[in-house]
Amino acid sequence: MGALRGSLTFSRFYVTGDIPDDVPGTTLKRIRANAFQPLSPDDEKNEGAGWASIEDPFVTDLDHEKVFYNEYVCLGLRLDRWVIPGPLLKAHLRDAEQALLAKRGLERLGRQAKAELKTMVVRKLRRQLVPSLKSYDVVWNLRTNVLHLYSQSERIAALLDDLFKRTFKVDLVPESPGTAADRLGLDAKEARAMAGLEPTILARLEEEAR
Amino acid sequence: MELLDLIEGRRFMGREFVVWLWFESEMQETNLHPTGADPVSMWLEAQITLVLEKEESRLKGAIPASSPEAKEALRQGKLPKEAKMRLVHGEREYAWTLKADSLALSGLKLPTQLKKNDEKHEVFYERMMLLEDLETSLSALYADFVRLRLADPWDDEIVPLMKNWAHGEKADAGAYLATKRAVLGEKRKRKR
Repeated sequence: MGALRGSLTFSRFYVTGDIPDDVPGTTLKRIRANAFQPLSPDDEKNEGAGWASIEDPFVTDLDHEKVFYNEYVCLGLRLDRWVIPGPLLKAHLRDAEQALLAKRGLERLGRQAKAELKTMVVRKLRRQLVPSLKSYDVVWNLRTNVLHLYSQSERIAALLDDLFKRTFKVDLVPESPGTAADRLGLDAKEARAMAGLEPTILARLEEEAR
Repeated sequence: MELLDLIEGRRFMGREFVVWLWFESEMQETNLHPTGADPVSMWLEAQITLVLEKEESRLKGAIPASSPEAKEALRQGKLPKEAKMRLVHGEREYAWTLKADSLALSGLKLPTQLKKNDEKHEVFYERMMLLEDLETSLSALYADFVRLRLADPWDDEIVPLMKNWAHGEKADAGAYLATKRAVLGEKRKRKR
């Protein structure tokens, strides 16, 4: 359910800050530098995110044609994670522990030895698995400087915020009732009213009901 | 105002926006005239969720907002957290769920003409054009709501009318429209 097909579910952001006049001409290098890099089984981190083509998350060699569609910057925010099923990890860990105890002639393993063993088992299992892959469409309209992220997850929004700022050196302000009102260019009286605003209550107070 | 306060401290404005759209739609028999944008038809349909703190009423039906239960929820002080909506702009018809606290849209169905087998860039541009068309209407409606909400007559004139409406009494649509015209007309004059 994204920008290219199906029904649309998204969150909106306002791109603010020092936006270059020529985004396509000045940012492609930085987009490429922040393109998705495959996870390695030996990495400490459990997940990795980066830019991919909006049309195909497996395409990470990004060029002008794959990113700039007239006045739109179109990207896929690709997020890969190692997902090892709990029972599988537990079973392999138990086997490895027993093998190590037998080899060393011990009855119990210390905390550090257990942690090292777990790292080793996780790496071994990662080599047998494929990371889970998800990609979220991101469309930045350069004419309006409104950006759509085709996800409403706060976690994905936080990932976008980090990657987008790192790539484009500008800020993202999430749309909300307050930020949308603020963008209207309130006059001094309205700004004062906004600062002191209290929620409207449609339930009648007792004295009103009498 | 600080950004965090603008975001977190003003979320209630989104719930009030939905209830205002609902009121406005009933007062104007779904024919809305947002300032600076084309007239549209708009109404709440199929599902609405109203909340007050942890109490929630989820109503379903053809037009649940017209049901006595929906107005009862308003009378209890609940406000819409989420509502399904439909908007018609000329030949174009849109349906979606609006999440009040963030103004985010879910499950938006666009009135696309092109099919996915057509040239992919053309399909994308059509979708973006249609999305922008809807967002123009919604932004204009939200701007009108904010101007009204921050003006003096909100508490003195509009809220009493909305209370009448929520309590199933006659809400004077003429008086509401006159107040609205006075506030928004004044804004337009000042802009010139």
